[in-house]
Amino acid sequence: MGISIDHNSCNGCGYPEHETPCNMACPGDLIFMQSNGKAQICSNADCWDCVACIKICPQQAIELKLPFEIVGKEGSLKARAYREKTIWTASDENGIEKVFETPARNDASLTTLISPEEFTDVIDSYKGISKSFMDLGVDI
Amino acid sequence: MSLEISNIKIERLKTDFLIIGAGVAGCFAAYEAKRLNPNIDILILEKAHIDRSGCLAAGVNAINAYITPGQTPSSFLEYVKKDSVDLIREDLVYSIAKEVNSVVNLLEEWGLPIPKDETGMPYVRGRGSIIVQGERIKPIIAQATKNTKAKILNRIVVTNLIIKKNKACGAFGFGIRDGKFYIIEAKAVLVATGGASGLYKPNNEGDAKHKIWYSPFNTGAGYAIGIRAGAEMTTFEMRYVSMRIKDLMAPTGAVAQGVKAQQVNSLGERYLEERYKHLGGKSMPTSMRLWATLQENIEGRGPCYLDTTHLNKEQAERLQAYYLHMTPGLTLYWSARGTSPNTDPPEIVGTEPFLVGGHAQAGYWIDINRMSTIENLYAAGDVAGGAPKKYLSGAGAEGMMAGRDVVSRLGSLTHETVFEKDIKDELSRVFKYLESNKNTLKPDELELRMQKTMDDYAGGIASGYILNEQKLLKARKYLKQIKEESKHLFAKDLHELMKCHEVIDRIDVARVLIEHLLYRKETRWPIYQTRGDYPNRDDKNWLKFVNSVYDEAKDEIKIVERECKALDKALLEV
Ligand SMILES: Cc1cc2nc3c(=O)[nH]c(=O)nc-3n(C[C@H](O)[C@H](O)[C@H](O)COP(=O)(O)OP(=O)(O)OC[C@H]3O[C@@H](n4cnc5c(N)ncnc54)[C@H](O)[C@@H]3O)c2cc1C
Ligand code: SF4
Ligand code: SF4
Repeated sequence: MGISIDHNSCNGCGYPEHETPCNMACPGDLIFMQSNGKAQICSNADCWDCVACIKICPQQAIELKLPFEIVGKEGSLKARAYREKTIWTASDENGIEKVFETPARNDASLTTLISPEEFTDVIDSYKGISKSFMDLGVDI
Repeated sequence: MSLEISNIKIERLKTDFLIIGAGVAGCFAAYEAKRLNPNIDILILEKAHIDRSGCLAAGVNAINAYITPGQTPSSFLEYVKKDSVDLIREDLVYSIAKEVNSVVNLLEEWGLPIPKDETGMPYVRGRGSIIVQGERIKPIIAQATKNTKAKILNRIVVTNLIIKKNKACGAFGFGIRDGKFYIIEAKAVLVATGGASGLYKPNNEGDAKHKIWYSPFNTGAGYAIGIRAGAEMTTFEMRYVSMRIKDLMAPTGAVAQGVKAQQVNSLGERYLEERYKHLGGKSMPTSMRLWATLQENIEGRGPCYLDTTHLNKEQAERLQAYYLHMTPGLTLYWSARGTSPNTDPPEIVGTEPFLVGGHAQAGYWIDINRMSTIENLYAAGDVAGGAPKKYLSGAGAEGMMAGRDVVSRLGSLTHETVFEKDIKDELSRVFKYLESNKNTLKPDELELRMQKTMDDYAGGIASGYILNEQKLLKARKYLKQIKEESKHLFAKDLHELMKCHEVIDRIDVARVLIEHLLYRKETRWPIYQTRGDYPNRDDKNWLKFVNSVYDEAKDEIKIVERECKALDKALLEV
């Protein structure tokens, strides 16, 4: 396993008018949109566990799962990327959660250097990127 | 999806400076060139999206090349030289050492959190390395790059360089979103596509096959396009095999250096000191520390661990969280098992071999300005050779050097017209796998075949990384056949078309690697390059570089030897 996308939570992020955040983020080009407007991973075996798609999904529809052959146990990791920090929730097989927080940017840069419109890596300011790609029309 | 090649839309673009790969090296090159000359036209082609591409997609938790207090560029050079058994390009390593700290200053200015102690100094994590909180490092670098107004095209896979009269004048590629064929004409080209993973069978199988250390999406494209263009490559035989945390293959630095965990065997012995003192103990070269770990397993004292049982609960939790900056799967690993580093110390194993110029030194043979043996073609970062241990900051430094040189030469550079025949040939080479025909070979199948061959005959994990002539000759023979097989590949969509080209690139890279491994008849870097049939280091005959040049027309890989030179003392003064 790599990621699992909850289709009840995924709202398609304006696809097909917009490229979706998960699709944009994946360094391996693994996430596609199905014709029902929900995101899907084309091959979990190809996933690198980088968590880029998870951090940026505005609906928190994606979570990381470790392959069964590696841990044998269920468990999942979720994450939300904000401008100044990322908040993580790791759960064990019984659903017992552990929450972590990591800083994203140093304070100086948050106040002085960057204008908020330029953030494309955080869920609270993602506005969608205009669609500039061919509709593949494939259902995976 | 099936396609007629005549229906492919063509996009022709012209730029001054084409950068292939928006990773660390590519972004820093764009930044530096634009800083020096805001009017230079720059185009960056990136196969993923600049925000989260390459090695840094998940983040990092340290900067591994940094001149820490008490160290100097000269002492850094000495350390790299010793760790690489004396064979390095001293000029390249030294020039990197002089610039790594300014790369880190820029990163901090752009927003990278770097924790400081009471005196305002970064926390030193072992020699030449400082702690950073780098989960967001890639978007931070991307933002700074976008601010330069360099043009960035995401989701374009570069497939070949355009060369005329041994000069680089552009590149070809295709869009994985728009399905277009891209022809870029440029006055200068920088290859910054990172190293090569996926040449060998990995540690895990099936659904876990990409739980590997190096990015599975850095597929050696930059090496392959250079090889096919006839650029000289160096020291492919110094593969990189790393000691990593078992299963998730996470880097160990945070544990070994960060919390000073010792390597212990199953008897609880600190084996480096207790059993391998005569070879240097804890200060053995990196590859030897892994060799000792494998030896412990062979002699029945495995598994080996990084001993984190001395941590208290709070420290253990901090260590677990620290990995969120780089390998978040490992944080989950402990959580899913309901354990923590103090009760469940990480087991250590060796990875499959990678080609990574930023850790070992496989890559383009370049001059001090990072130009390759092809005029106007530059290489920087993990794809550039001769300078091990440059890591993230060194990749940035090399990118800046290339950017600077392009700016200073820009006035004398011109565009060349691309031959129509070259365009037609590449268009058909790139897209033919999409055509509906009888082909049925999937890129994954061919990749497995190549990885198995490399594992069996070219010193993969299964053979304890050991090489010999007879096996390598078999690898050479099978890889030639595997290359032939590639013409049967079939792609059902653009994503699979990308995967077809990834495996084709990997095969071209693997074939060059085999020739390098065959040629060096000594053992210089145990594990990275252990010749069972030439087990000793032989400075008299082999303290020199093994380079190669591929002739595509003849399908021949020619080996050239290059001298290993001491640093020109004149450079030290500058
Ligand atoms: C898991 C991991 C952790 C690391 N941790 C640290 C650390 O803590 N500290 C440290 O100093 N170093 C660390 N490193 C090393 C560091 O990340 C690399 O040395 C550095 O990223 C190399 O920079 P690069 O520009 O050569 O490659 P990358 O940054 O990987 O960039 C290569 C780029 O080229 C693109 N590309 C590839 N092929 C093509 C193509 N055909 N067409 C177009 N684009 C293409 C890729 O998508 C990518 O964006 C780590 C590496 C890994 C893998
Ligand atoms: S980002 Fe999340 S909600 Fe949006 S399309 Fe992807 S999975 Fe669905
Ligand atoms: S975790 Fe990373 S590699 Fe896996 S699907 Fe998400 S973005 Fe892609």
